[in-house]
Amino acid sequence: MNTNDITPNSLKTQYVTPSDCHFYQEKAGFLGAEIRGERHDRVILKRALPFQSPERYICITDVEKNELGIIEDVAAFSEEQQALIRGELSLRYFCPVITDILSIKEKMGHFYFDVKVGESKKSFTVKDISKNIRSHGKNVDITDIDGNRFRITDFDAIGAKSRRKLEPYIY
Amino acid sequence: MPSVIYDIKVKIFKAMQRLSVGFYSSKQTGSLMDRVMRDANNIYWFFVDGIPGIITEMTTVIGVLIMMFLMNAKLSLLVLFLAPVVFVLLFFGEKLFRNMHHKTWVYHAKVSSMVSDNIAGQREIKAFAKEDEEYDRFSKVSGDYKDAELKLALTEATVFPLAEVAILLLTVIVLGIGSMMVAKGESGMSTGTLLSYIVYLQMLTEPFDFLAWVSNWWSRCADSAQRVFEIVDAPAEITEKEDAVELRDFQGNIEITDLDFEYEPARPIIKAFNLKIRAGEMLGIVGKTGAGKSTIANLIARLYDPKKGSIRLDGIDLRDIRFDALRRNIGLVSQDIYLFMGSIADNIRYAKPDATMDEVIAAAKAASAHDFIMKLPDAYETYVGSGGQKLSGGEKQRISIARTIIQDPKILILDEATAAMDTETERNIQNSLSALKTGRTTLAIAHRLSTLRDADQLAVIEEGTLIEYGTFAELIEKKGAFYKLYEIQNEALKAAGILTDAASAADEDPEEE
Ligand SMILES: Nc1ncnc2c1ncn2[C@@H]1O[C@H](COP(=O)(O)OP(=O)(O)O)[C@@H](O)[C@H]1O
Ligand SMILES: [Mg+2]
Repeated sequence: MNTNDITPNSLKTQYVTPSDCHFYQEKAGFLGAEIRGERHDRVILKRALPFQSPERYICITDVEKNELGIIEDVAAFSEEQQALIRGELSLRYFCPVITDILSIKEKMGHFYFDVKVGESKKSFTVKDISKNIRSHGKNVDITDIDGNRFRITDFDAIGAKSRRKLEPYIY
Repeated sequence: MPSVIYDIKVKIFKAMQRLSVGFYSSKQTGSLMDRVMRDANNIYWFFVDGIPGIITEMTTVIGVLIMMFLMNAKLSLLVLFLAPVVFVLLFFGEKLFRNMHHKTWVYHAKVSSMVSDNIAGQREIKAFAKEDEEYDRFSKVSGDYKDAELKLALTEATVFPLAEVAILLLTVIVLGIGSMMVAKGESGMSTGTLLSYIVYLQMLTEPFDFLAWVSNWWSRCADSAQRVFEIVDAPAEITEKEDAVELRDFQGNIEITDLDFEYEPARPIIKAFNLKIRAGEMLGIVGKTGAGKSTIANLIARLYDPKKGSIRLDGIDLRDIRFDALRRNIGLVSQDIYLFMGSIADNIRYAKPDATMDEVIAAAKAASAHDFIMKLPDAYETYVGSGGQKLSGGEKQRISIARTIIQDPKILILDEATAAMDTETERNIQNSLSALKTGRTTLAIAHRLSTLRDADQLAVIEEGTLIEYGTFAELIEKKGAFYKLYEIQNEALKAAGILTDAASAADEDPEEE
């Protein structure tokens, strides 16, 4: 690595630790953070690796998207702080969990999915499956043509029938 | 899972590693790798989905045709006879039909509603002996229908599903003739028969759609297969010697001796070229577009081999050095950046796959790439390369600089590395670039001569030969070719109003792949 000292701060990675960063719930419900002694009443959290490491490398920015720091690992924070961080992330990365795959039909390069999300049925369409169906460990993440996300949290736990339907599309 | 596709890809990648860049550029593609991935996928899916699909759809077609013949042989013969005609007509008139698509639909709706009115009100028509009147009405509407087809005025360009429109036309014809048959009370033709006949006819839409699509797919697939074989069978031009050596204790001295090079026979690009760059020094290369600057950069990275003469690193001929040693020690940020199909993170750690995420982020930050990456929905896991997220030229260059920072090579070649960036980004990145340059042998090609001020030496190239060599100050003093280039550029910059940059607009519009 060659990031010598002439590199300005804006081009450096600034990790935050529980000692210099404290999250709090702002009155209006927004997530605030005090970072290195500076209060920010509204911060935005974004995952650098949303699929592979949803709990690591979380970038904190203000509303203008200026980066305030990066959380290297959520686990380093206290239970109470973790809950705040996860709460904010789950709002931003809302993602229905697929529990069953009823059918996948292919027509003209479009894949029509009929799935069950809990008790309710859901249909969506996926294009470019090699890009939009991704698996990481036991997770399978599916992005439909409108950019909506769906997730299978444990590929081995959905039924064998469901698994067989999706298997051909997972690389 | 799909081991076939994996095999194909592995075979192709192996083959690709044997090949020179000459092969890639002669196939005019910066994204060959992407295409290969797609080609392999194409072939695989054709066998997995295409072939079984063809079988089921063909079965449907045959079954439906049998049903149609059983119901009404006369009408079916007509359909069989007309179908190819309609397809041929549609095929050649595709453009015309595309425009007419919307209008035809409207008239189709009218015609069918009229016919169904007719069928529903058949008893009334007969009772009032209005057959001829209805017949006229139908002719009128279907005449309009024909007009709609022929009128080119409509510009609505919807996607044109050939098979659907063909079936639609056939349906209209069958509806017309069939309803007349019903109205005239022909044997074996009742309202019910006609309706179910139409239903069967409509059932052909999907298989035909599929078959039309599959034939298109097949031709793409044949293309893919051909490209794949081309790569697998192509002889390697740049090869690694059996006894190629490591670069031990590599310093980074470059020596070019009596170099001749041509891309095509009898069109020399580099002629009797001599140049020495000492380890740790920065050399700026200057010259007009087409002078051969990038060619020299590519030769040093051994993307091509010289025709005559040699290039040595620490005294060892490039052709005697192992590929992995070259790949590790020479970093090239070029004019046309090529991103591999994969995530941004994978692209950044390409030269060092075991780089940690810390390193990836630090490199991206140093290259001013982190912020724009974090604005993408999938951040570092955004797919780039063909079919993936489109990035602007400047964004690609920043990713490529991050890639080079991770690679940490001894020799750094910057071929107009910031040309596609806006001025502000370029200024931000200059610091990182200066940091990157320290302790390395650097070869910098830049359009803006002022950015080469800190170069230890400058080489001016014209038509593939070295015409001037010296420090910035020396060359200005000399009032030769470099001085002239410098003057021209200053004039232009002044005329454009203090140092505005033509490249500043370039960063915003994503490139088409
Ligand atoms: N792959 C190629 N095949 C054939 N000719 C090429 C190829 N690349 C470059 N050339 C030709 O070589 C000459 C030098 O090109 P290049 O080294 O790219 O110039 P520069 O970088 O100085 O603008 C030009 O005349 C160009 O047309
Ligand atoms: Mg060039």
